[in-house]
Amino acid sequence: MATMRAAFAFYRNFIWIANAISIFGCFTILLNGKPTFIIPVFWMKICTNILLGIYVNVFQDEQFYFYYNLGFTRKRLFALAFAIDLSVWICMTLLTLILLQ
Amino acid sequence: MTEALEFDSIELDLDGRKILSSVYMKCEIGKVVGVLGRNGSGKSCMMKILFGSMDAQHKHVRINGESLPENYLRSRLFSYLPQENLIPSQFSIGEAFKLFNVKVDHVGEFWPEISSSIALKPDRLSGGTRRLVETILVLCSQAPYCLLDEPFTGVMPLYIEKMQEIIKKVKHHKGIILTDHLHRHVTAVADSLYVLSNGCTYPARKIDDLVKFGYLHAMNEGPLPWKAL
Repeated sequence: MATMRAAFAFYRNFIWIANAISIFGCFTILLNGKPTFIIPVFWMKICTNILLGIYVNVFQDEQFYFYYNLGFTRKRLFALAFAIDLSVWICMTLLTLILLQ
Repeated sequence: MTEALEFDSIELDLDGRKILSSVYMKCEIGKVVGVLGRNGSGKSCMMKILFGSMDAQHKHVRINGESLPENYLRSRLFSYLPQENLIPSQFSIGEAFKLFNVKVDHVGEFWPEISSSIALKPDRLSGGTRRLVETILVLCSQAPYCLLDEPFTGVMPLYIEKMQEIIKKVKHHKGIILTDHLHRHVTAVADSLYVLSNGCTYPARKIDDLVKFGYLHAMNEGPLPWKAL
């Protein structure tokens, strides 16, 4: 529980932009009308997450001491935050597919 | 037997320059260890290496003679106050305390004014108040060893006294390693003192030692509040 609280706290760094990208992806799937369009959207999601990760790693690196104090390494923190983000993206995409049918 | 942290054989090279080569230090629970050294002598690097956030070419950290595993950051044996700000700006002070599992009521015993800051984001606090809050957060965390990197710098005397008071209170169940260039404030609370010079640590037992290792100019110094003696 404490782990997820800290991971979610870190995810809040880029929650708005990550969710905006997810919504944009779902919107393009709806516009395109084909479920197979999920594949390029998935890769777009992966690439934008990598870019977001690099941005946080380089420009907001001061904050990591806070998380180190909570027992998190950078790798673990990013892995958990991206797992949360991908879970949100999967839920949104499934809803989009339901809307498509 | 008192629980003791010991570390030695820390070796650090940065861009071919030897920063740390022969470091030994011992910190027991219930003691405050002061570390002094010139700018660029490697104090912060030593703290970061000990904390586990910085890699060294070699290090050996022991608690009660037992070596710690390679990646002990997860075990939360150390809490660390960096020179920079600790609490990210997206959190309120209350959220940060919650994540650190520090009860605000407990902090209120040391510093009742905390209640007025609890709902604020750290950016809304003055630099000195922010430093005090972050120092309290580290000192009250559950880690048995606290590493404080320049907690007194940029803080008004009243808050420095408060920090010293809190350090004296919490040290009964913690080992604290402290470094700051405001050396009079360090020597006032330290039970033992080391000087870091040329990549090596030397125990300092009298003011002459600080002069000998090039940290102080003898002519400029009045009597120090030397608790370590």
